[in-house]
Amino acid sequence: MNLIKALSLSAFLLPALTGCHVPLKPYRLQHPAIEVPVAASASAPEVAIASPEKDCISANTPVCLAFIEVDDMGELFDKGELNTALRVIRQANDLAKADAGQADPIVITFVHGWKNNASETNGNVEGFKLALGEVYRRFQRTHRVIGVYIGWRGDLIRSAWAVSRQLSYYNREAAAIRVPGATLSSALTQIATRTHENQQALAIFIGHSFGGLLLERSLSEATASQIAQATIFAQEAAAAPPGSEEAKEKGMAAKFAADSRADLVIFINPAGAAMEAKQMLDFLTYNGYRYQPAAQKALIEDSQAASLPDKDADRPLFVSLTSTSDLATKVAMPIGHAFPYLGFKREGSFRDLSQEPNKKYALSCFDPRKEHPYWDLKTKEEGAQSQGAYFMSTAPHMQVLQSHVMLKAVGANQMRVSSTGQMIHIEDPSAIAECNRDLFNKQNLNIVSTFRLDDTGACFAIQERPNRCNGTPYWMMEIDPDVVPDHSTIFTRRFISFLIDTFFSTPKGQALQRLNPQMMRTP
Amino acid sequence: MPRFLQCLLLIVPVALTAAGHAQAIPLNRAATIQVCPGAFPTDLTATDCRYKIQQRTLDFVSGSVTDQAILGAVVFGLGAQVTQSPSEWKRTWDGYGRRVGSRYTQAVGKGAAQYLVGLIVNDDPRFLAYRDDPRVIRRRRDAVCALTTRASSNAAAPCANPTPETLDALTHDGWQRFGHAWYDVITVRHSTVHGDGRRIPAFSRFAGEFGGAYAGYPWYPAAENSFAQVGQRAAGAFGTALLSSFYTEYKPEITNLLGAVFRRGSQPKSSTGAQP
Repeated sequence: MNLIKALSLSAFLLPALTGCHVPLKPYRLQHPAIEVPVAASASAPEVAIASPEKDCISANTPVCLAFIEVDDMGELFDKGELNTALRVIRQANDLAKADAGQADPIVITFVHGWKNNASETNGNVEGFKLALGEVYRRFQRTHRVIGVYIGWRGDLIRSAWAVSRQLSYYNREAAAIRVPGATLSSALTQIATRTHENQQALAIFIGHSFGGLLLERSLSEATASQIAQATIFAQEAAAAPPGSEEAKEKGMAAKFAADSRADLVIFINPAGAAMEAKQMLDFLTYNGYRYQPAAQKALIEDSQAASLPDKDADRPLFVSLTSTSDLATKVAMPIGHAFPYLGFKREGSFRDLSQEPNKKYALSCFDPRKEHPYWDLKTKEEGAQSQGAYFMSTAPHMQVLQSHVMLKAVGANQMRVSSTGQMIHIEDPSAIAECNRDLFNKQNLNIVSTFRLDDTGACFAIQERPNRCNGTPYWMMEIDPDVVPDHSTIFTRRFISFLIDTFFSTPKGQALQRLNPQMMRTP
Repeated sequence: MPRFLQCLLLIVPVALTAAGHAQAIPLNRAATIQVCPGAFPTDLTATDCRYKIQQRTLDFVSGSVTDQAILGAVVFGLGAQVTQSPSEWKRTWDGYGRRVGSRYTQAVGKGAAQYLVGLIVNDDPRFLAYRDDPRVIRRRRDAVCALTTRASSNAAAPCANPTPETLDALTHDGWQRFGHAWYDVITVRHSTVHGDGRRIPAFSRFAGEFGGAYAGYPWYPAAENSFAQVGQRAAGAFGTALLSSFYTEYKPEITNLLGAVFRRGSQPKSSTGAQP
């Protein structure tokens, strides 16, 4: 009798725990590109979302949003969506070419994360639309802004089934690993290439949470190849006799390779293991890459004036940001990876720190700002980690991989490091008062940029991490909860201000432009 | 127009506004600080702060009816099975079924009472951390502004309140946060578009706690149905709400604490071969 009761109870509970699935379907086939209404002012954004969706047909629409949807296996639902996105980008480029008063477009591609999709009622779709409007406003309404929303089946279980939804973690992580492939990779390459038909237009890729993992896996191989090709062709062009056919051909090949990648890739609260990022980091480290578009442009335009590149000129090609209070990637992700970790460990898949010739495993470091830019971290005491550690954490949460830290003003003379809580005494109070990078740097703090929160006016600074191992153009840092409070809250004016002030403008305060996409190698 | 001139025209105004690499304080938003309960300051998606019926229903269903409530009943029922509470129910499948059933009924009763009372008084029970409270944000901005005026000759910014008593508002520390977590659990706001509804006692929350406690009546043995026992069960449920409020308030610290357990990769202690 007891057994019957137990079975009855289980029969009642089990279907409940499996929850209700969100069906696999495309949401945007009928309207693959829509206009994003822009509110008159930042204080009235509700106007923007209250309007019904309209198709983006006119080239004069200031902000458009196109959708590209892939299924659970990584295939496009309809190639027409990609074609529409490419058509919208071309229209914007054509308008910029034809009308001298039109500024060059900014194309922002966003890959959403877990528990989201491309449906009309989805919070990420709404948030991305509002964020595009905010970017448009921040650039004084001069640049056309085109959003491309990459939709995948991030939401497996309906929100009413909270526990089952949480338990879909492994399933959706597997999807985020499975979906990247030739389809998505080529779509991203086409977006970048189409954008760069206008040489000044910017292609920005952004991935959030599992979308970061998905984006990283889609881009890593292709981007590494594009960088390597561009570098080799540029070197060969430089070695060829000036003005020769060979020099021109190689120069063109280098340009095409550089044009087919994004100008900036941003991962926000990425949920992938650090080993996803580490391979790209190793590639950039081994080759000693630097990305200094302004300095490179100056070198090309005026070789007489060329001097050693300004230290301020270093810009990121990849940025990985995570909130210090992101419970999902800081705590839940290591817990989620614990079982697979034990499996890998049992099978002997991870390499431990070792200096034996056949088992050598260390962390290679590169910082072009140092006199000896290459070195290795070999022991735990030095900060090196065994391979398994990179599986158990996201990259920006690992201190040893962080390239920068965020500082927050907490008093007239005090800045606090957001990731460690360490206090830094600022000798000149006017540095904090004016939030002035140059005044901070009089104290040799190596501040890269400063920004203020939009609402409180609080001053923040981005500092090169002292004694860092990662000085590549793959920037990684933890950010303050005042800027991003948790895993999901990313469509805020505070965060967008931080992104624009830090990554969309140069340290000299100029608006970011696509000056020169070629990278440099440090001998 | 040559591309160079276009670029120059774009750069000059931006460069001028950023002269000296200093960041001006955005004071023009003084009147527009709006933070919805449960949201984050400047959240672009939180434009209409009303706690709408769809959201209220979803919160009720996901928290008190579906798998979360079932899992809670199963787990806490198991705990009660181990401690054999109430003692009248034996440690048998029958006893476990009663423990799970009573807890599930209490969860539904609690949610339903909170839902109905909340609907009647039109409240918004979502928590808001002290640091995200619009009044605190205003105080912090005043402090920043005063600091700027005091410390920099370049900054003659017109502060709304140029002489705040203290610059402590720059930090979030102090007893205010502790008090705020308590205050937020015993009061709620009226649901309004701008999230600035007046505070009222958390009738819906109290009704929910007692509703849940009384929902156990048909299950529990008569000895467990005294007012004192019901009060005890309600107090236990209130403790959960209190924990939730404290979690909202201290989330950064809690995350850091938990994160330290899982942290991988320390800061390099040596820069072998890399001395500047």
